[in-house]
Amino acid sequence: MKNQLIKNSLEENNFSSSTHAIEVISFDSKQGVSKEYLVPQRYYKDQLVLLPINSKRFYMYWEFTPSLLEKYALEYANQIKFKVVDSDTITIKYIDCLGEIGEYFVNDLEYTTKIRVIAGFYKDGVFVEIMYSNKIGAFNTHINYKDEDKLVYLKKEKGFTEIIRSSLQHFTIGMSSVSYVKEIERLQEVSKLSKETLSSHTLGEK
Amino acid sequence: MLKGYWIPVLHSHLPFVKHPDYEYFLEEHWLFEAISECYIPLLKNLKRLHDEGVDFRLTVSVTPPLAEMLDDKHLMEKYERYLDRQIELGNKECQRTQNDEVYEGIAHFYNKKFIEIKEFFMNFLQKNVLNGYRFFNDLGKIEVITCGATHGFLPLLSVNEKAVEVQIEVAVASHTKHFKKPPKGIWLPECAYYDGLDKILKENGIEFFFVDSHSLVYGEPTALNGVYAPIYTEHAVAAFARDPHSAKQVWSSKEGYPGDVNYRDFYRDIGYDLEYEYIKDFIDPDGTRVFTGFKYHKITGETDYKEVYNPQVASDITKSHAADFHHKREEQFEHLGQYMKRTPMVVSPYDAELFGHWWFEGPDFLYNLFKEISNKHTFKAVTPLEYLTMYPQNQVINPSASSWGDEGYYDVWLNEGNSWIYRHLHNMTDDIINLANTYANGADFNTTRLLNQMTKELLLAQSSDWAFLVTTKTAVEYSEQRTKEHISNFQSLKNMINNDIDFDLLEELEYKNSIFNFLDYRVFSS
Repeated sequence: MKNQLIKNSLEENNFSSSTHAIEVISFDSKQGVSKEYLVPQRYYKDQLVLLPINSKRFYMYWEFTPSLLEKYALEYANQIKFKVVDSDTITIKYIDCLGEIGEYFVNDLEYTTKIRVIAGFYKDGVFVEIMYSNKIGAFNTHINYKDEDKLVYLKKEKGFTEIIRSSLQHFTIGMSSVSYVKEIERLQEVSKLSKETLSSHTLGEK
Repeated sequence: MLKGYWIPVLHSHLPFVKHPDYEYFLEEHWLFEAISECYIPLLKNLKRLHDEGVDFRLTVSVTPPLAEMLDDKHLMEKYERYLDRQIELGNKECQRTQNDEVYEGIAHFYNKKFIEIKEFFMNFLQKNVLNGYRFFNDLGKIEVITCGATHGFLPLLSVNEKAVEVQIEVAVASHTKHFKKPPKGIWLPECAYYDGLDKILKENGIEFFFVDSHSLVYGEPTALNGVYAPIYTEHAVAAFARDPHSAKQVWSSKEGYPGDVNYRDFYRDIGYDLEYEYIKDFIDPDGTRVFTGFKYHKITGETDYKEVYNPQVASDITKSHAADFHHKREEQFEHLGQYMKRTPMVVSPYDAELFGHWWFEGPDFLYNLFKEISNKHTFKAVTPLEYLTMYPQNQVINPSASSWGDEGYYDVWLNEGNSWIYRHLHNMTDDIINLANTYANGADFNTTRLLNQMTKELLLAQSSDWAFLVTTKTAVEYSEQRTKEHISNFQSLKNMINNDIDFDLLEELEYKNSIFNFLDYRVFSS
């Protein structure tokens, strides 16, 4: 167990907070804690909260009070549906409500704009909205620049791509020359950089 | 001509742990071990450099919970007793290994080490470790920066922005209390950034912070100089990003320095190796074997076979590793210099606790590295503010949301194991805001005590450490209990407002969870 923890901590390209000192310091921590502390099971208020995790995953929790259900003449909370909507309020996913209190991890949903969740129910084929969540922003996972700044980036030519490559060495695209080249090709397409200044040979250099 | 500027950063943090009801409490030993193995060895080496006239610059975050513990009389008295026990064990070991040609030398090494630590603690530090940081901070050799008040993971608290504002505001107040001036910079807890955080930092006088590499590369727009120059955010706060190359040199299992076979092995410790009857007075009183800090073997190799550690050999290797690190920075600066119109800058942040605890020789590596830099003059160690003074004009971008956790986002602090925490944190924040607004003009003496203690319990529950430890499956039960304890305490105190007050419980909590004696619940009022 101990060896594995340290080994995991020192895995190649894993030099971040997963190697946090506390992990090392506390791995032999005494596990027995005698007193049992009680935490509230519910807060008796209507709430629907989203929390971002990464570019393809987010978390939501909710609580619906009996008075809210009564207000909309809903017999059960599972009559409620959740709609995930983007910044243009286009629905990108439906989720079932599992009860008055619940939580849900939404996986494999790549969101590129701010999103929110709307709780509601269908009545006569119409979605009746009863509550909005907070909005969460998208994670940017691409190199990007504004069109009006294009010239500034173009002037740097190889300098820019070399510096970005160096900056990202340990992370996502930096770990794979294939994905790095793809990303640069995307840039080339946008900026119409010439093949001469950005050949795949140059990009493949270490 | 200088080829580059190097910004070394050490992030020093431990969660607030105080158990006055026990003379021995294992989690308090996190602090004692860190002081003996990390903070004092670092400060001792900085003093050596200073005494030898070697110039150096280091940015060090001392988080508010750590500063509070290092300034806590009860904990420091316990630490002094801890040192006395270590010296007693050292004496006992010297006797046990007398005439043992294999272990006698290493036993004396540890005995001397703990005697010197105590001497440094009692004299130069005057029984207060913060005095060491203050000394070098006042000299301008180190730049002490702050962190979130209780190391709360700010992006996940930002559902209610007031929670983030209070984490920053209290951090600045704590830093000002301990270092007599407000901080210019901050190490964001877990290096975690979200869109809009810079505004809160600006409002609290923070001039710079750190992010992971992808925060600038995936910024809006992408940073022209990557991580090799800082940027300004929309609200004119500078962001410095981590350089992946220098990080890898320390962390990589293949290339990282701490894995050298001649360095000290972390696991082999006499707390586990020696007979129970002999060692029982120096381990957990309930008989559980624990680390004593007396580790007599070197890494040797990947098998369980371990040879005896030779401190002199290891010390010599820190010199060659320091020279190697220096050489690789020179190469890196030369390479980057071809593509940049300014002198490149490299930021190398590390957890302070890894220098000395996990990597026993880490403080000596830093000492030798600063000497190497001073001797060769090919690049210079600077603080972020010194760099910004030289290069006040920087690109303006919006950094992308990120953290330095595994995968670079928020997964470590929000997953199936720890998601239950956040519902409570958000609701507690709503509650304390409502109460702070209700009693915005003040409350009677006892209600004020209740509200102030509720504020402390909320802040302590917000610590990112508990969610982190649940994810890494280390000290899981303790971490879950700590979170539940603060939530439960908060609710108990809330129920006492305008009701009967359990003064025994209130007094107990005020003593035990005594963090931030300056805290006023109205920090949460609108």
